[in-house]
Amino acid sequence: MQTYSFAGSQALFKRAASVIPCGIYGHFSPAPLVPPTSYPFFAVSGKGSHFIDVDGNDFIDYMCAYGPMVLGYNDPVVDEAARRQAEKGDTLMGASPLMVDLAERLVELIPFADWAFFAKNGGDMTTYATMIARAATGRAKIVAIEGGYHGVAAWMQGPGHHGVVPQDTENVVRIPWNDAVAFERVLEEEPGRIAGFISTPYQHLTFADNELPAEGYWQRIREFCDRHGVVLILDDVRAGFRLDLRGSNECFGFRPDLACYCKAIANGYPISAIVGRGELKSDAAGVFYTGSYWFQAVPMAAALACIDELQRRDAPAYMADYGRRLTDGMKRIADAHGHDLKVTGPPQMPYLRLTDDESTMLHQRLCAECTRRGAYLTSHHNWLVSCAHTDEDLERTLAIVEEAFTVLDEEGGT
Amino acid sequence: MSVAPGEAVKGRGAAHESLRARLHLHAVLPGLQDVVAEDAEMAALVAGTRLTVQFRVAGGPAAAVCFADGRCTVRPLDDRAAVGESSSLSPGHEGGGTVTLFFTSAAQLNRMFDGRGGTPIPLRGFGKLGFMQREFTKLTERLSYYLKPTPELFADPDYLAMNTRLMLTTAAFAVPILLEYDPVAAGFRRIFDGGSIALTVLPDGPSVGLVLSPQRIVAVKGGIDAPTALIRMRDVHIASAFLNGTLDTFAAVACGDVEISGQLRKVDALGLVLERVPVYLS
Repeated sequence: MQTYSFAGSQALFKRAASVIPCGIYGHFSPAPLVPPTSYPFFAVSGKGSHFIDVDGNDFIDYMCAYGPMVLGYNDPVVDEAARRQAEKGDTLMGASPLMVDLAERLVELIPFADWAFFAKNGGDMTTYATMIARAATGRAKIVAIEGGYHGVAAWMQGPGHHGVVPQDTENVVRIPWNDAVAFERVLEEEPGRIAGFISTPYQHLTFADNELPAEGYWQRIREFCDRHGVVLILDDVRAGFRLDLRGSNECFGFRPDLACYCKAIANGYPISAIVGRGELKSDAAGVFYTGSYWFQAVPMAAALACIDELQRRDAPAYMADYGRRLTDGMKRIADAHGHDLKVTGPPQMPYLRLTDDESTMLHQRLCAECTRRGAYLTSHHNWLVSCAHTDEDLERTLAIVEEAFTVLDEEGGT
Repeated sequence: MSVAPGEAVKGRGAAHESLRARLHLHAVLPGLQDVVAEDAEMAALVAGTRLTVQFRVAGGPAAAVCFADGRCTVRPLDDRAAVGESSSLSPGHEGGGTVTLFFTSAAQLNRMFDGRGGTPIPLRGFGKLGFMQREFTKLTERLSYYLKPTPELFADPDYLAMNTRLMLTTAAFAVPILLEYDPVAAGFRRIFDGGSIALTVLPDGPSVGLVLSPQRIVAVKGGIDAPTALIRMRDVHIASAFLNGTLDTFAAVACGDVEISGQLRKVDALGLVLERVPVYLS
């Protein structure tokens, strides 16, 4: 099997590093890719489940742009809806009627939602959610899960991170995941001071096995929030519309007060959303919150088309089936090579690691060898599958995984 | 924009001074070992010396600098410094006499290390005060010289190599102390629950390591076997920029100037812990 070279990516990165902090910043930074020399840094085009890098290498993408790609790159239905709107106008002097259509669509789709509001990124919405919670309760503190990621605003980051001062996080109380007792303890220790509880529907940290909620966990959180007048905020930015089109909470049998969505809502067009219960609508209205491009009509058209397509294709079920077949196949190959490949998290967004590899170096080599052969896999983050992944992709991917394990065997890695 | 040396510590309390004292004794002072080992002039200076110099802070940290057989070893004497102890800091070669320097407070010791007075009270070893005034002062001045670079000094490859070696040692030995005592770094403590981290300057070193467990973190000089997290810097120039905080680390990793592998969460957290060093040591 031919292996790729990345000379173009590396040359372009040198140019980038001279004029851009980090070269490529944020979640697209190559820093967690081990080794970076086995990965593409720059993509030039995409179609379906594949993207092409600046060196002309073709990849089956299992990161899906870290989530926004859900129907496939350049999905014809979504792109056509976006194109039609683009011909009419995008950012105009006035909100688009599509904003109303999209809000009605989300309220219809998500059982607990009575209203919707739009922005650009997931972090716009999680911050807005905490402001709504504070406005509604007159309280300051937010309870979040240890290690939980809700974006990049200073309050979301931990003390000690660059640019974060202690005052930024002094109103955030962190508790362990799956620990309702810890939440109850905080409520008792901080009576009348907790405005909101924010969490992802399940624990999807980087560098760690993903953890589903324990039996009854969310129901107890809901109960405590109700008892203490705390706003329950669901950060469904990563998992939303992949696990369940009604919101990931429906998988786990609870309903939040506010829910934040972004990645899979418009198949790569820039839009995020928050939906909420009617009781919080006037508080949401009271918080002044806006952005220059938050009324773009093209992403709204794309979101409407994307949601229709996700429903038409029964997207969560399709992705779950593909994800199961992918991870089952990989586990079988790993077993045959004498390894235990552990799969955690929902099949639409699996996190994998080799349990016989404390350092994770072997897993890093496995992902790198797969990527060099055309199956883009990272070792630090949950993978994502899409509606565009095909049986042909699966067959090709498993052949790549088989060869990658064989290479590790030959190099003495197993 | 920059903050003048010492500015960052103004107005800080006793805990801050205490932590600085621990860093001075357990992370900076061990550099004397390298100065004696690597600088021929300094090695000659203490070639025939057999003496232990103890630094003791009232209610605070303590360390011993031992000279014997042409070598210098530095080891912590206070129990609370165990977390920062190095397995390479073998027991001192006591014998031949001891000088004990007593500091009434951590702030006094810090003033001495900052070159702003802080003269200690000699409790023991009055007959060796001549060594302290001559040879030991020269040693500490040389350590200070190596730790305070200028652009001109950095142009000298030997100076660059020595500064990098000392900075690497200081960084490694600072980590256990910061994780124990710095309130911000302590937030990362649970990440360092097991395994080991190796930091190496290619092609030939120097290297340092951190051996991790929930109870104890041990900094070691030299390489460690089968680390679970690895940081390798392409050369001394990259290492120097990394340790002096002038490197765009994310870009350097992507370019291959800094190689990282293994448990990256620990590597990431280590970077954040090391960011705390300048809060205490200007």
